[in-house]
Amino acid sequence: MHLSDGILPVPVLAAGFVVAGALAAWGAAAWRDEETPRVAVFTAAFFAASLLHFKVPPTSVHLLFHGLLGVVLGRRALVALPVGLALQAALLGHGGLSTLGVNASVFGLAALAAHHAFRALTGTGRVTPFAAGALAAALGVALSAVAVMGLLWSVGEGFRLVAQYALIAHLPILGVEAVVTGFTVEFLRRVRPALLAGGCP
Amino acid sequence: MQAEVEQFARGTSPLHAWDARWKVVSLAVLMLVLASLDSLSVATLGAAGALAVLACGRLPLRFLARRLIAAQVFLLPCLLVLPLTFTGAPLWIGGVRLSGEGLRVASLFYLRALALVAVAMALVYSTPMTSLLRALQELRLPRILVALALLTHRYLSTLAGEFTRMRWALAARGFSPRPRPAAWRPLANVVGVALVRSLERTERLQHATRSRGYTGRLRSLQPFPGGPANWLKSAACLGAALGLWFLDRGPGT
Repeated sequence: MHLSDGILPVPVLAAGFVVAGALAAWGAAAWRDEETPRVAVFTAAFFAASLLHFKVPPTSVHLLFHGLLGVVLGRRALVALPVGLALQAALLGHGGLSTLGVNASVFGLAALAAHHAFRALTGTGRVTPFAAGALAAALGVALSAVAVMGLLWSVGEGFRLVAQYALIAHLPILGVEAVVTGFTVEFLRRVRPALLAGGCP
Repeated sequence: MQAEVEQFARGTSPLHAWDARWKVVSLAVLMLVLASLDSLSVATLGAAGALAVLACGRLPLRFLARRLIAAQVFLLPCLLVLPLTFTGAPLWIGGVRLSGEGLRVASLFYLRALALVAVAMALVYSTPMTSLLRALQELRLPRILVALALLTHRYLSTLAGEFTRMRWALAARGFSPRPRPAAWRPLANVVGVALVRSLERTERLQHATRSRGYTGRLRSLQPFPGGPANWLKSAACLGAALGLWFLDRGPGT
């Protein structure tokens, strides 16, 4: 779920931009120009995932795919996510330009966690690619859900109910996202195993 | 969807004619101030000002209304519960106990969000994507971010094309896209195939652009429009932002 414009106070928004900028700078270290197309394709996939809506009354939720980005792109996801989120805010009105930094930080850190979880799980050699991808994606969604809830919680007492709802609304996303990411990872493992080699540590 | 965004980006309104570099900086400052407003009356003024900026773009009203409403769908459910969940001086309206403070905060957040979305729309829908990215490049946004945004924007249609082709292939084989567990694997395979095919295409695209001298820097034969009108628009925008900021701080504090 993307945080919208108008809710968070300016210091939080500013801190979001600083953190996201630092993460992106670290993520872009030793970037080779040949990498740009690969990262761009997955950024486009991340953008498009938010168009896949399904109903969770009384609102509707959409896929996030930041876990998949973390699994496939590793550190490069920290560059891909701000760009994808900026395009979503600009072209679709998801999230907002003022909350770009906060959203990019939340998703970036969750994607990084998903990446490390995936590596750790596949490293043991006893987990199927499907399970590893699904668990990594579930972790990514869970972490970003908790972060969004924490941020809403911090706004004020009146937001407690909204924050709890935001957490609950993430549960169906978590399930669908885990399954879709799991199958996608399994497919990529069969067809293009080099993609999952980690990209960049 | 890209076509929809670019559709109106080449108009002749004052907003379209504004130098993209000045437009980005001025509107960013305005957004910063709008996000920081704390007084309800000043936020109302700010939202009115933001809508006025958007009106300068002379974009089709139906299109704007649709986008504005779409942007509010995420926000409204949150704001409707605020007057119920806030504590503070109770306010009885129609037998329902509402919190005056909650009502105030909800209205403030709504006005702020409306203003921010309106300004963002004014910026995005009056500037072609290439001009916007070129302006950001001139404003020293890191080269990688600009190149990545450009390529991602370009690949959206590649990816959409691959998806459409796969959907036709599925439909031709009698697949119904109703969501059910048995459909998950074929759908995920579609995602995978679309990704892999797009990757192969983009690699070829990369070779083609590089062999034609692309270095990741945007160039254009079209200069940014010059002239005093740019300065006047930016000065007006920054003046309005400053005015709002001072009004919000108020004489008392």
